Amino acid sequence: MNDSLPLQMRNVQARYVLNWRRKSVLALDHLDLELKRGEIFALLGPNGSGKTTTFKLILGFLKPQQGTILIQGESAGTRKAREKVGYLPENPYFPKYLSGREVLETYGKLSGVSSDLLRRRIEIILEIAQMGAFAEKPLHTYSKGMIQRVSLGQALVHDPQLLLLDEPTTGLDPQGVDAMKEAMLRLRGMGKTILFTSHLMEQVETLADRAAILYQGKKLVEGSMKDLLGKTEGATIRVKGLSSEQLNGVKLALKDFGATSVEVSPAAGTLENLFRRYTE
Amino acid sequence: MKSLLIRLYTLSVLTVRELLRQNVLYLILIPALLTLLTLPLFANLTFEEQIKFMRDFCFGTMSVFGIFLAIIATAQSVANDIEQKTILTVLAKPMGRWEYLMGKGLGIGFVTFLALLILGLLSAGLFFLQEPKLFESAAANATQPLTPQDWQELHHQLWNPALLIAMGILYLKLLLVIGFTLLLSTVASSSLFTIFTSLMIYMIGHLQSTAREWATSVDSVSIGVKWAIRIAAVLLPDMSFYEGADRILLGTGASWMLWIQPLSYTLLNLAWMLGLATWLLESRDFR
Repeated sequence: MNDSLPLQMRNVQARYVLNWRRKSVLALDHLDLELKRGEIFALLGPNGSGKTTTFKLILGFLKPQQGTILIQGESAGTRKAREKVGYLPENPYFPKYLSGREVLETYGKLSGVSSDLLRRRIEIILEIAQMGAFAEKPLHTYSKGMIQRVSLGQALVHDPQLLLLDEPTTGLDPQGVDAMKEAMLRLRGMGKTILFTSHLMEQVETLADRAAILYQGKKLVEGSMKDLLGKTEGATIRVKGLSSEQLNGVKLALKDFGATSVEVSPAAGTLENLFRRYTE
Repeated sequence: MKSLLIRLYTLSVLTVRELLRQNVLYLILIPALLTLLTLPLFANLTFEEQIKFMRDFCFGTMSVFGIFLAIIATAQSVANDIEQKTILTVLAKPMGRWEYLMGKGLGIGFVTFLALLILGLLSAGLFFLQEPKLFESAAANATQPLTPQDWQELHHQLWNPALLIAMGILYLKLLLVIGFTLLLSTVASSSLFTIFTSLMIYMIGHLQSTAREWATSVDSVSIGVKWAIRIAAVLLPDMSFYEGADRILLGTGASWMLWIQPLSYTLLNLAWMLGLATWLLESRDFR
C-alpha cells in the first residue's frame, strides 16, 4: 500500500443489518478504489448502488465486513484519518440557530485548528465558497444553495487533503451549480483530491478526471473520462436547415457509406440554457 | 490536552447556544418563574408552617422544572442531532465520540445550573420580600416579647445555609438525569421516545427503595417479582440517594456530609453511563 495516496480501498465489502435476526443486505461488494493526489474522481451509479455507503465507510460511520480503507496511510475512521478528510453530505444539516461564520468557527475549533489560523482560513473559505455576503445571517434564512456553500466551507475548514462531496450540486439552480463547479476546479488547482457523486452526467463529463460506475454495490467500470467516453460507439452529426426529405436523403447516403444504423431526431434547445437566458 | 479542552469547550458552547437560541431554556424557565411568583398568594400560616411551606414550594418548583429541563434539553440536543443527522458533520471531524457526548453533557449541565441559579435567586428574593411579614406574625403570636436570641433563631430558620446543600444535592440529581437521558439518546430512534423513557426511568428510580422495602417485608411476594426489583436496582438509578435534600427541608439533618453520598453516587453513575453511551455510539451505524 502506498501511504502517500489520498485514498486506497482494497477488497472492501459492506453489509447493512436489516433487523434483529441479523438479516443483512450487501451494500458494497469487494470494492477496489485508488485516488491520486490532485484529481477529481466521480463515483456514479443509480440510487442504492453504494455511493453514499462508500463515503460513510471512508469516514468510519460504517465498518466494513472485509477489506481495508486507508487515507494517506491511516485507517479509515481513526482520528488521524479524519484529519485528512473533509465531508459534504448529500443533505447537509447544521444547527440552524448558527450563522454561516459561526458554523465555520465551530467546525474549525472541533477540528483542532488554532484561533489565528482559523480566522485567516475562514476569510479564504468565505471567498472560495462565495458566501461572504450572507456569512453573518442565521442558517434558517439560507436557501439550499447557500447551505451547500456553508457545507463546502465546513468541509474545507481544517484544510484536508481529500474531499468527499456527496451530490454537491443537487437542488442547486444553474448559478449555484456553476459556483460549486468553479470551487471544485479551484480546489483541484490547490492540489486537493475530490471524490464526488452526481446523477448529472453532463456535469461529471466537464468536471471529473476519472470516474467509476457502481451498480448494486459492484464496480462495473473505472477509468479516465477520455478512456470511458472513447469506449462509446457511434458519432453525432448536427444538421440545420434541411427538410425531412433531404434528411432522408442524408440517411440513405450514410447507409451507402456503410453505416449499419442511422438515427435522426430533431434537436432541441436545453431548458437549462433557456433558464440561464432569462435569469442571468 | 489543550486541543481536547478546546473541543469540549466548543461543543459545550454550541449546546448552550442551541438551548438558548432554540428557546428550550425559556420554555421551561418562564412557567417555573411564574409558578414561583404565585407564592405570596398562598395562605398565611404560623411562622414555622409558612417557612416550611415556602421552602417546599420553591424547592418543589425547582425540582419539577429542573427535571423537565434536564430531560427535554438532553433529548432535544442529542437525540435531535442523531434524528436530523447533524451529528454526521460533527463526527466527521477529528474527534472522539465520547468527546461529543461529554461536550453535550457539559453544556446541558451548565444550562441546568443556570436555571437553578435563576430560580434560586428568585426564591431568595421572595423570601426577602416575605421576611418583614413573617417576623411580624412571629412577634404577634409569641406569648412573651422576643429576645435577640429568638430573633436570631427566626432569622436562621428563614435563611438556613443548609438550603444551599439541598440545592447542591438537587443539582447532582439533575446531572444523573442528564446522564441517563444522554445514554438513552444514543440508542433512541426519536427525541419523543427519549423524553418518555427518561421520565419513566426517573419515576421508577423514585419508587425503587419503596419497592425493595415492600418486597422484603411482605412474604407473599413471588420470587419473580423479587428478582425483577433486584434487576431494576442494578440497572436503573436509585433516587433515594438524593433524599438528603428532603431531610434538610424537613429540618431533620443539615450536615455538609450529606453531599458525600449523592456526589459519589452521581460521579460513579455518570462514569459508567458515559462509558456505555460512548460504546453504543461507537457501535452505531449511521446510514
